[in-house]
Amino acid sequence: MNQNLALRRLVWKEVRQIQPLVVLLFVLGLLLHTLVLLSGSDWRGNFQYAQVQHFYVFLGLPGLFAVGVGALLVSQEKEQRTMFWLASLPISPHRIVMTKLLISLGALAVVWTLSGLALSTFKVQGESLWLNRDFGSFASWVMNSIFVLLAGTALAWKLNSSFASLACVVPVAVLPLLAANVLASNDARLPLFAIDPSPASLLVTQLLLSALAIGLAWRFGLQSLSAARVPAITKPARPEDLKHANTWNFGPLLAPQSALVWQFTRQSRVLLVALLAGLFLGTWFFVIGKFYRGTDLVVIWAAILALLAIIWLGVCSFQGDRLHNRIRFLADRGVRPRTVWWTRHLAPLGMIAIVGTAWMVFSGTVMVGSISLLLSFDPIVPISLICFAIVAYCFAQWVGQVTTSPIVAAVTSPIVVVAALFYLSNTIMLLGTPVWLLVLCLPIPLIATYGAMNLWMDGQIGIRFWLWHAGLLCAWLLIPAIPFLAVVSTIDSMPASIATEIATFRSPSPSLPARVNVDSTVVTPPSQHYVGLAEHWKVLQSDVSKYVHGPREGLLLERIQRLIPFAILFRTNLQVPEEKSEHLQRYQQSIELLTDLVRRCRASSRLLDQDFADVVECFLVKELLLPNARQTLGATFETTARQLADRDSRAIARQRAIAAGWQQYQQQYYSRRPAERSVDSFGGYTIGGLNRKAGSFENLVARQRRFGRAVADLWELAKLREQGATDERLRKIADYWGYTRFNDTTPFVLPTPIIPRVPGRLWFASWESQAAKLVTDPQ
Amino acid sequence: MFFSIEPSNGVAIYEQIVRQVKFAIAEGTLGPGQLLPSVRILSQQLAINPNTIARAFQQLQADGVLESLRGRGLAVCATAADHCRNARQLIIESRLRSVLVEGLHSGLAADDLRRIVAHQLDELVGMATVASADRVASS
Amino acid sequence: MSDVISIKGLEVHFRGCDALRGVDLSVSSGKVFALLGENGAGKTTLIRVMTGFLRQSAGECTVLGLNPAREAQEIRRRIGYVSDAPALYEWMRVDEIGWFASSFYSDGFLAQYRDAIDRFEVPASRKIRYLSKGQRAKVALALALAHDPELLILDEPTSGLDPLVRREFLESMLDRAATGRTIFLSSHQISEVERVADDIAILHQGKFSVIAPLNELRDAISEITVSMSDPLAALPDFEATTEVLSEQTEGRQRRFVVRGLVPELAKQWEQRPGVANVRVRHVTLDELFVACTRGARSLEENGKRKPSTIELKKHVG
Repeated sequence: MNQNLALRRLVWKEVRQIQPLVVLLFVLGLLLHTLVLLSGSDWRGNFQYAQVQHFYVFLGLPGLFAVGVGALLVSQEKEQRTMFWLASLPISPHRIVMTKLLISLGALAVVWTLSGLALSTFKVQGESLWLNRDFGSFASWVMNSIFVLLAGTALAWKLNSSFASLACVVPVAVLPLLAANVLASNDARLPLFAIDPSPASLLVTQLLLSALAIGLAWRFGLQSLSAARVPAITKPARPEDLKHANTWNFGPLLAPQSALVWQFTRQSRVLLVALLAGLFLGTWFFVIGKFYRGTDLVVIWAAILALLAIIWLGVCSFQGDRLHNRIRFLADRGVRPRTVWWTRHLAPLGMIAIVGTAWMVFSGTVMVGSISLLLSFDPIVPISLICFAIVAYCFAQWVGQVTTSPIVAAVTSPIVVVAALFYLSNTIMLLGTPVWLLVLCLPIPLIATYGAMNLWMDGQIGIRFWLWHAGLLCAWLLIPAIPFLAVVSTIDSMPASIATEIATFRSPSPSLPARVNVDSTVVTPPSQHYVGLAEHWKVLQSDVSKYVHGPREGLLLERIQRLIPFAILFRTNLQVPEEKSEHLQRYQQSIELLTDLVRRCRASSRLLDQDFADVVECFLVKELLLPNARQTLGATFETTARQLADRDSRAIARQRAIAAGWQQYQQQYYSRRPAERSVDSFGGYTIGGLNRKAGSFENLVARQRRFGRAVADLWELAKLREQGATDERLRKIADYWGYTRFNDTTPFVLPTPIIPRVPGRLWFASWESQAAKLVTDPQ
Repeated sequence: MFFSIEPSNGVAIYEQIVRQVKFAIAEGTLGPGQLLPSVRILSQQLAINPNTIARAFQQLQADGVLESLRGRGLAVCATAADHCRNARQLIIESRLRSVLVEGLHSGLAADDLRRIVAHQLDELVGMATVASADRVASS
Repeated sequence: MSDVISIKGLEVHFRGCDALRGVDLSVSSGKVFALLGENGAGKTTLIRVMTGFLRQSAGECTVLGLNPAREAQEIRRRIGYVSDAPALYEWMRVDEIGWFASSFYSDGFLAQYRDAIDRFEVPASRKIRYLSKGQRAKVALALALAHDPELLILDEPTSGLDPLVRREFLESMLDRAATGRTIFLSSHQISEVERVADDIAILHQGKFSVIAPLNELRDAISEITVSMSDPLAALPDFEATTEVLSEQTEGRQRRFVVRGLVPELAKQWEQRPGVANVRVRHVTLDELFVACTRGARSLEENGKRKPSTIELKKHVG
């Protein structure tokens, strides 16, 4: 037999066996990663909001792989009895064990390389992830995964069940950390875990333990593959030897439920003990880490251990009976699926409950300062931990029922649980789901496995089974989104037709008032103390002219609105005989300036300016309607009247302002992350509805939609001419912005501020028709 | 008594049982008044369907070979031996007939057949005389 | 007498394969019913429908008066079921598994189980993992019998077992049958079936080609071997009441397996020119099985006949 060929074939077989695990891990990891990134982006492809923690998925994948590969290559072969066949081939056991070890180490290297590559393609806030990272801790994490792989292989060779060997890895994985701490704590004053062990000491313990693990794996592997040893008995067996004292010696018969619980716990003894150890270690680390001045590393390990233990306890509730399809024993005898279901959960949940209660009791009795540990928390912490644990367990048992292979279940369940937790937290933060709704969703995984129990026990894993589970999964995903969907479907938003109209609106460029050289010698006195009316008027005139006729942008409404009282003053002073001609001139100038101001405002793309122009025009109409206005104003009357009567350009100006304002609003809105999209101003106005409960995405979305509808209404109004006066939309806009609309215009009483606070307040009011009449109906 | 049942030899199982019981009675293996095992025990012993055995017993009862004793099962009738010997003779006759039919089919003439039968009889009778003489001598 | 099992028009279709294509049967109480068929004929599918592990595509099925689709658990509690690869807990001892199972049944289970184990001579303190194949099968049978079920369903229980173990199985089963219990047995071992069955059914490609009491079958089915002096001579057709199950030709001889042979036919044929010899004999169950399966196939291929079901007048009682 060609040894080289045999070896090559063996290598090929091992690689083919490992392949599915690698592929599965990466697919799931990518899915999870996409989920995580979606929340950190603005949903349009920018990842600038992602943070470093979001990429930890790629650090966790090799860890999971290291845990699972030993079980995959060794335990699975033992369970499927192909190991016997392998051992019967003319290859030496040394070669087999060596090949499996090397292939798994090689595959781990491949997985690490791929993860590393993936990590380096992402940039967080413009920087590559590899900059400024702590390479020491990264290296110790890599080394730890190698240790876990070796320990997992040794356990797989020793133990019979693949799931048991996986579970035992949980407490074993933390041995290097424990050993390093014990070795490094020569200072008796510092408690254990108070400082992180130095990377060097950690590395040393990891190397030592890895060496031990390799040795054990080698030994157990050879033992497994060579002939079983028989104890050295020299006498022939006698029938009496077979009868033991406690054969047929049982206590009273158990009720079915108790029998099932006995069967479950006896069957999964090793598994349960190992996971209990993991759970215990996890909570112990947590206590140390949080309250005895322990380090962050300890808390991280605590989270990993406790979470893995809870998750795998959930998986083992159903996977334990999968082996050799032994659940059929119960199915063949017509045992009630109901009873089987809760007896599967009793032991694992019981263990979690016991450890949880013990922890609570412990922290309730231990004092920190003057209050007990338990009370020193924010109540949200234990409650959210309990919720995490429940969600983790529920999803893990769901995965446990649905998968056929224990290794697949063990490896995918952590990923699924993390995805579920992530989804839940995002629904709270982004979609604004109320907590009671999420609590309602908690039992859905349990309902799923309960309902499918009959099919699962009978081995009828067909369409009905999958549809049931898929349907409940969809329900679990959709129910938290119901409030959000309700908002989106019930609240009107800007219709698409109007949105396109606004986007494609083109108007002729507005005509600005003629540029005039401004007298730049006039300067505003610093403290605004004017010597007399004349000087005040000069300064004001100059300021307004600078804006109206000059190139300068920006409107000082507070200053410019003073033009109006001045104009009124000049007109009233016309009664007074002295300086009548001066006042007349000033009056005419002010009216002219006001007219130019209106034109200038109409040319602006800010909606506030349009409404300000309305106010000014309203005033002008009143002025022009006064008796003798024509004589008083002379030529200005005509120009002003014509401008006032021009409804078309007014409408176009309004539309332009709305379109420009909407575009600017959109730009600001979408440039932010979904959770931070809250734009407050539109065209110079503050958007209405701000005082409702903001913050949750649902409310933001509701607000956005309502606002969109309001702008759509504004737009449609702006297109109308005479019909607008009685349009229903006027009332809707008034409601939205919270003002009372009245049709006519009250006379101006100084010093009422005339700066508009809400849009559209004066649109289509009676002054517009009066203005139209100015031209057609000369006095 | 021991039975040898061959399910595939063309004769119905119950018929085989009936014949073997009758032969046994004819030979003297089963004496008059002797009890037969119950249907249940016999079906277990022979690994035969109890209904089949029950049918055989019914047939034997109908033929007057067995009778039912209250509380004790089935026993051989006192007058059974004669009937069984007759039955045995009938069976032998039919077996002989089928052999002769086969001989005729294969082309042998009637005289040839008679010669063969006589020759075989001479040999066997001679041995039978010796055998019965042995039996007389040793008893 | 009510039927313990009653099936009408049962059909089971899988994707790409029709496991059962219209099956009718009824088993009365106290009988031993044997189901024969080649591998893949649909025997296990039928049993799985009866025990509620599979839902039929069409037709009705009633076991002990209950519908397996709805009350599968109740049925499984009342019957004893030994599947072809029974699931046992490897880590339990023989006595432990009996004690565990006894929780699900009424009192007396453990005592009966213990009796059976002692009778079978299986070491009670050994783990099931270390039992031989025959011992495992015995444990499975003991578990199924210990609650004295009125119906015992056995799916190839003795396949792969040595003759002694098979004999012990048969003895246990017959003990049960003798006390009036019903047994439904699916098997390959024709020799066993010939000994123990009351009613026989042969399943071929999803339909019954034969379903009748065993003794009637033996009487009704014959094998005719015709030796021809002229191989090309034609033979007359059989009567309309005679059904041909299989037909074979080998050189100068032709062999038919038929049902309902008219007795004078042999003589008639012998007198025809070209026919040298006609021999008629009864058929063994083995040969009948082969005729129903291989013979049916060849007849279909030659387009001679469509497969149909033989139902002989059933012997009541």
